[in-house]
Amino acid sequence: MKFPKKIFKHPKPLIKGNEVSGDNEDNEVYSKFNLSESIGMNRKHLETIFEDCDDIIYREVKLYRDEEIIDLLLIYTNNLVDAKEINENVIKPIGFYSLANNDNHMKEEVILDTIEEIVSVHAISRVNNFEEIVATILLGNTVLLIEHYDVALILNTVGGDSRSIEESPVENIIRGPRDSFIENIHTNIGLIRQKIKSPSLKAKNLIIGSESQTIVSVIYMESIVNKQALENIINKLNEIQIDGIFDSGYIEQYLESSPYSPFPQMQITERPDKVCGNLLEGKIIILVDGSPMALILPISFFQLFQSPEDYYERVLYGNFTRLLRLLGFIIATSLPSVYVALISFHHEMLPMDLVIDLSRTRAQVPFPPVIEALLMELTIEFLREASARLPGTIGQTVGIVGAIVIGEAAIQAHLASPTMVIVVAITALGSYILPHYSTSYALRMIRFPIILMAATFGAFGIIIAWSWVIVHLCSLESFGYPYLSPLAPLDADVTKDALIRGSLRRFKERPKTSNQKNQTRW
Amino acid sequence: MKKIVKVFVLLILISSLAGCWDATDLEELLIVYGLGIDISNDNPDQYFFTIGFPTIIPEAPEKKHEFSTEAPSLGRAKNNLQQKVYRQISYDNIRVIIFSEEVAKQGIMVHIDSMLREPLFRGTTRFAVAIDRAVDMLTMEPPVSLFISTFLFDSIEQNYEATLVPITTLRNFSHEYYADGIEPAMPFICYGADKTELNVGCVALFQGDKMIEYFSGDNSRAFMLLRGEIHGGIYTFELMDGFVSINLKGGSGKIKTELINGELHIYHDIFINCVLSEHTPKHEMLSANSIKALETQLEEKIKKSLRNALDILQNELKNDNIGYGKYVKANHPEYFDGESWNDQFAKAIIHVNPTVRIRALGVTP
Amino acid sequence: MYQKYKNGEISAVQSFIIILSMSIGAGVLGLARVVSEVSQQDAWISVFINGLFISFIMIVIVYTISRFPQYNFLQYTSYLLSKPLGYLVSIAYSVYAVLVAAVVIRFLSEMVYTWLLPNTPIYIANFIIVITVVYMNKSGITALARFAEALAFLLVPFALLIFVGLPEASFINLRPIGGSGLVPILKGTIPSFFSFAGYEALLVYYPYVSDKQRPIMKYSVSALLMITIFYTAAVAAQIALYGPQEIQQVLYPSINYLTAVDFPIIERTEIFFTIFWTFTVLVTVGIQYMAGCIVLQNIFVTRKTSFFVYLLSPVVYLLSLYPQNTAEVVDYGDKVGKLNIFFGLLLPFILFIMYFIKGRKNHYEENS
Repeated sequence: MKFPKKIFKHPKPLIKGNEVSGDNEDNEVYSKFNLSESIGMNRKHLETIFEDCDDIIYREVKLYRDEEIIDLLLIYTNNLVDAKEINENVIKPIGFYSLANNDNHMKEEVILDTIEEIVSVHAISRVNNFEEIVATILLGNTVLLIEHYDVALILNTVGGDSRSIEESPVENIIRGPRDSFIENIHTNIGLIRQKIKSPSLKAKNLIIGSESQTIVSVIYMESIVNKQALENIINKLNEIQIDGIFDSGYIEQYLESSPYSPFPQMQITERPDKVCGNLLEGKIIILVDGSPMALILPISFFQLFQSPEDYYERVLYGNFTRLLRLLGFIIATSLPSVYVALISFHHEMLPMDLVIDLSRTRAQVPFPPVIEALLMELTIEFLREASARLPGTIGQTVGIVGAIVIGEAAIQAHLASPTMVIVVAITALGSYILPHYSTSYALRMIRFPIILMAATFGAFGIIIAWSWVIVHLCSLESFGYPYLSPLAPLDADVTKDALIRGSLRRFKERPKTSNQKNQTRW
Repeated sequence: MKKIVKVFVLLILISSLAGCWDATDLEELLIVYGLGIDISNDNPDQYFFTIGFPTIIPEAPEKKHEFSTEAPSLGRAKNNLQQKVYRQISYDNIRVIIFSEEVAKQGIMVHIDSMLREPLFRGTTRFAVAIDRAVDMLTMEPPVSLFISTFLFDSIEQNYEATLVPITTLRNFSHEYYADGIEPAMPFICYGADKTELNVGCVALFQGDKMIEYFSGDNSRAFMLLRGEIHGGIYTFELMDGFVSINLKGGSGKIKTELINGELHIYHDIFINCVLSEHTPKHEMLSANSIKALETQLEEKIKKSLRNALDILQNELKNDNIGYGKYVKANHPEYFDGESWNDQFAKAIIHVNPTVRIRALGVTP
Repeated sequence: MYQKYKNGEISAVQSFIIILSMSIGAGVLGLARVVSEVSQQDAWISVFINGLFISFIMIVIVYTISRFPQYNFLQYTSYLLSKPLGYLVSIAYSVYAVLVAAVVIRFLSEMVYTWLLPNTPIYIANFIIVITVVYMNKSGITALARFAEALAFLLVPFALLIFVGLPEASFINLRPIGGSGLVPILKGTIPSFFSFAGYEALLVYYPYVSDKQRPIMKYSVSALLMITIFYTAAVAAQIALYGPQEIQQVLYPSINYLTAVDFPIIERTEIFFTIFWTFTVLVTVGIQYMAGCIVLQNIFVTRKTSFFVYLLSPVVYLLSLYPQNTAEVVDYGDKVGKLNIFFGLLLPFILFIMYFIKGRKNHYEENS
């Protein structure tokens, strides 16, 4: 995994957070201060800055050369470095060098060059001001101070503990690769690079967050992406002012243009194969250090129903599951409202035998259908949230027990009719069909207004409520890309990849998100 | 500014929830499945309306119940009936409407107007005429413990498939009533052996909206054959000191008209496909000649019965219930007179020509 | 894709769909009855001829306005007809558009009142429809055109509903074909003219089409031909079911048509008709209303279109409440329909003739 050297040659200056924190003494102490030649003074200065940071380690090493003893000081943060690397690649080589004899009487630069030669760390750069030194120490690098020099060396020894690459707990599929992103951004970018081995895959890093100094990486394919959108996004990212970024969700909320819409304007995923598929279509990926969720933008409505499995399975199976998902979405949003409308307003629609049975069961329930529907829905929402918080098996048990027992008990206590329980159960199942969990929020949110409209105006209410939803979707745009593409505006792509998936051979033309120049894939 | 407008709109929308004007819960409705119309016993110039509906409370003593009232028209009857019951009556699920014979003879358009005007009234409600009183029929308990309306609905369906009675719905009736050149007809229900058995096998013939006669037995089947509604059923003939029965499998009719010397000639070809189902005379049928011979004999018999029915329609009743008028109107618009078509029909010369095709003999020769 | 289309706000395909949705509107409900009053069983021939005639008018319209690709409605009417007349026509058009929108809203709420919600007061139903239309229009033409596109797919099952009643229909009701005589058939085109109304909105929307080099003439004419075929088939099917005499007794033959047949699961197919029809009519109202607002925005250039959308909404609401009962609604619809003759029939021809005169004048001046 190649580590991009850029960040250490010219680290981006600390963003305005510095100025924002006011006239702190610390600012004046280290903002533009350079190293002095005395290692003792430098050390004292750093100890002042890192006062009470007991996990910063100061390690003295001596380098012997021709009876010269040169004092070296290693400073690093305890848990952020790979201790083995420091031991084996920094301290040991210096020790070995000291043992070997060397007849070179050269000028002072040579010492720096010499050290750069003997230390076998994979990335080294030079630094001379405290600002950068503090930043790099906190990133996990080691700073090497040299006596009589006002230049220090930064050694890349980033290590530390992180999760291993394993299967994603929320996005599992049956057929396809099972690796998923972890919290470390470098590993994540590496996972992407393993799949797209092209120099045109660019990863532009920004540092956002004044205290957290989080690395945010914008990843795109240079030859395919739409440059204007990219510029737009990077400008927006540069304007973010915040103290700490801990998850990609923060970035999502800063970037989206319609924060109050129930529909997400970016997709999140943990899977590198999904990310790579989208990269090749000209989309832009944002990775945030410390979060395993990558952001994909811009997206369209139909992408919320797609899962990478659709492409790995054969044409018929892929389409079958996709249509099933769409059906699930429609049922999950409309079924309770259709039930309420039919029962309260349009009895003529039901077959005669069903009407008699339904009225028999409903005669025993004291509430109007709307209240019944809302009660059951609320109970299901509680169950859902509860079982998400509880660990493992308890959560599953609560889910099952709750659903069955509560349903049965409600029917026995005449608080709900059996039909209602069935309707609510099918609705809940339908909402789980969607490939990613967070898009089901959209579903749940639009369901309730539709039920209320159905309760007041019957079928007319359902029509009006759906019109509102569709108008909202039509006016929504995800970074300039119309949300309902390719359905509206109509495109030939609609048979290729929106609702149904054509055969892979037809995928030669890229979708319209990409640069117009590079429209064909092969 | 935008926010204020949004909040305002939201408030108005929520306030509209305060009154759900149209929401009626299912259990608050009285769903009528059958309607019967009789002449009132006490006041012969008023009608007697009966509605039958299921009870939905499990502790009710009976599964269904009927209410009746006396009123001069259906509109008034609806009002009266609503006063007698505790739930709102909904007429939108009525499956069968039964007219008694006397009511049918007096004319039923007065009742149908309200049904046509109501938008949610089913257009596929079946009509039927009952011998005797409709209220008796609606209160009857069929031995198979279905609702009487379902029982009647299904019997009409079955007998339609047996090529015995037509299915007349509200839409059909209104179409045949308003259109020139055809007069309505509907099933006529009589009792079988006793008051618990029904016989849905006769056809009531209407002129305009008044019933004038009913066909039964052979005539009703002949009527259905003339109408071109040939489906299934078993047709039995007495031939050659035995009985021959055929299983009807379908068929069609073709009507051609010609004006020869100012006289209307109607050529009606009827094709009947069938399968032999009973043949008691003792000779084998498995040869083309014998099948042909049988077919010819059957054709003669059928022709006779068709002629019989047509004679009644033309000479006695002077009423075209079959629909020849439509074809005459289509082919000879200048001859056709909408007002007096029935007289023209009575004078027309109708050549009816049935063709029987026996397709199979079963599994014995 | 990341910015609005380069030269305008809707694409050519969207204009095709706009014309398609506009013309299928409130007229389809009573069309068969109104036309067969005049031409009996040949009503479908009248409708067909009418459709062809309107396609011809469409050709005239597209030909004329394609010569002014950069001018909007106000500008090219002022150019062709002289400035004061142009302003007059534009103001008249926006008044007409608002009237038509109000009439169609009233038709829609009448239908809802009759078939779906018999007890809800009319002013509530109207209010909800007006709010939905305002929401549809406030984001501009692009969102409206996308909405029309998204709902255009509902027109397919809508058309398939024609086949529902065919088992009960008998084609003998349609004969004798041509039996009513040529004059009644031609006279029958007049009542059917109003059902196609709405295509003249292209006069207003054409300047906003972004890729004008696409064959817009072909799209518009094919949209009208599709509608013609659909209407002809619907009218023919309805007459085949009802016969020319009974159809006079039915106020909404298109809906009652669906009551003729029983279905196993869904007892009432009218609800489907109502649903599809309501969506289509909502789109129609939106497009018509937007056309009026666009013309107003052309006149008062400094305001945005959405300003007029909000401003005129109470006007539309009150106008839609004006008729007191069904008969008055039909009356109202007739009167507004007569205005349509001017905008849909006379105006395109006047513009066409003026174009020839002025165009020739320019040409002549260039040559001399």
